[in-house]
Amino acid sequence: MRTIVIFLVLMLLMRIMGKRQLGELQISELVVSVLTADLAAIPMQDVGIPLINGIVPIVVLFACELIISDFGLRSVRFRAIVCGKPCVLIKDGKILQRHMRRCRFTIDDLSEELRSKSITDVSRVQFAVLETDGTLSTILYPAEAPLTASLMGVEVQPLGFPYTIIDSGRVLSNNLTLSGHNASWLQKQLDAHGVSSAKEVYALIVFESGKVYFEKMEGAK
Amino acid sequence: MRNMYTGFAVLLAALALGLWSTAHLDSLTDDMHALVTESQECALDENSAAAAEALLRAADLWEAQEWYTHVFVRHTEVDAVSDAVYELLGSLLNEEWGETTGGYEKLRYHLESIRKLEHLSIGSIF
Repeated sequence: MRTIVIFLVLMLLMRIMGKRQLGELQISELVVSVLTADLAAIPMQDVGIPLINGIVPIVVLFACELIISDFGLRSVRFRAIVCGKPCVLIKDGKILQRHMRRCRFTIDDLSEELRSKSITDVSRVQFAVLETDGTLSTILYPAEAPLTASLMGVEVQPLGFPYTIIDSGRVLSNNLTLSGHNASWLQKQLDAHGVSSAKEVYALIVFESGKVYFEKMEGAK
Repeated sequence: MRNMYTGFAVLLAALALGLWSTAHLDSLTDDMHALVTESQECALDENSAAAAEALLRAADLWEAQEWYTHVFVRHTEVDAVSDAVYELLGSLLNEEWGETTGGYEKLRYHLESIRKLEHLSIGSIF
């Protein structure tokens, strides 16, 4: 029961914190996450400690994080103090050794990050910036950037927003309406793909451009 | 801005809960101390029945506050007070007067320990 209560409280608080928590952690968010894990575990394991002794510190931490992140939104200086500043590691194809030392970033770390972006030659990189959440952003020289349709002067029709109409045999009526289609259109799509009911469809996605992606349910006749 | 207000509101609520808990615990331990003192005065007169009766009232008071103590106070501390009360009660009913002085001190020590833990002080923080 205690575990369920702690789980529900953490789920609620993480939801309030927002989606940013899940991916890119700033320093204050990392501190909250590490401490929360520990605080939640103690009253879960030891029934001699009141549950409130675990919940109150967790709620206080999340409240502090809400205040800090909101303060950070309105003050650049405060954000720089709490989150730090991005650090340029490569400029015009040259590694900035002073910045590397300041950020305690080794050549191995840099090579690893560049390799993960399929870059092996530093001289191809115009800028590489170590962001405050620890990720390395790279901007290649325009001549080294991947070829795009616009660079080639080719016109490409956008697909538009995709709406999932059938998900694992279940029709999502709201998405059907949002996509601007109706039940008779859906029936036509099912007929066209040779299925009699939505239950035989794993996924049916329609794009704003009108393109339809269809996937039959495995095992359906 | 809304997030910041929510954060401050939560912190204020936590602070209010903490202050209420401290005040409630102060009042509870004060009442317990009063009953323990009353019991000890009877014990000094070697009136075991009256001493035990006052101590039983203290035990009842402590148990009646279980809804609070088990939610806000470490269970080991709560149990230590209950154990001290019933140990002392045993000594009183057996009229082991030599044991009772130590028993009262032990009970007072546990009550004071709980009170100190809840108060904001250098010791309770670090």
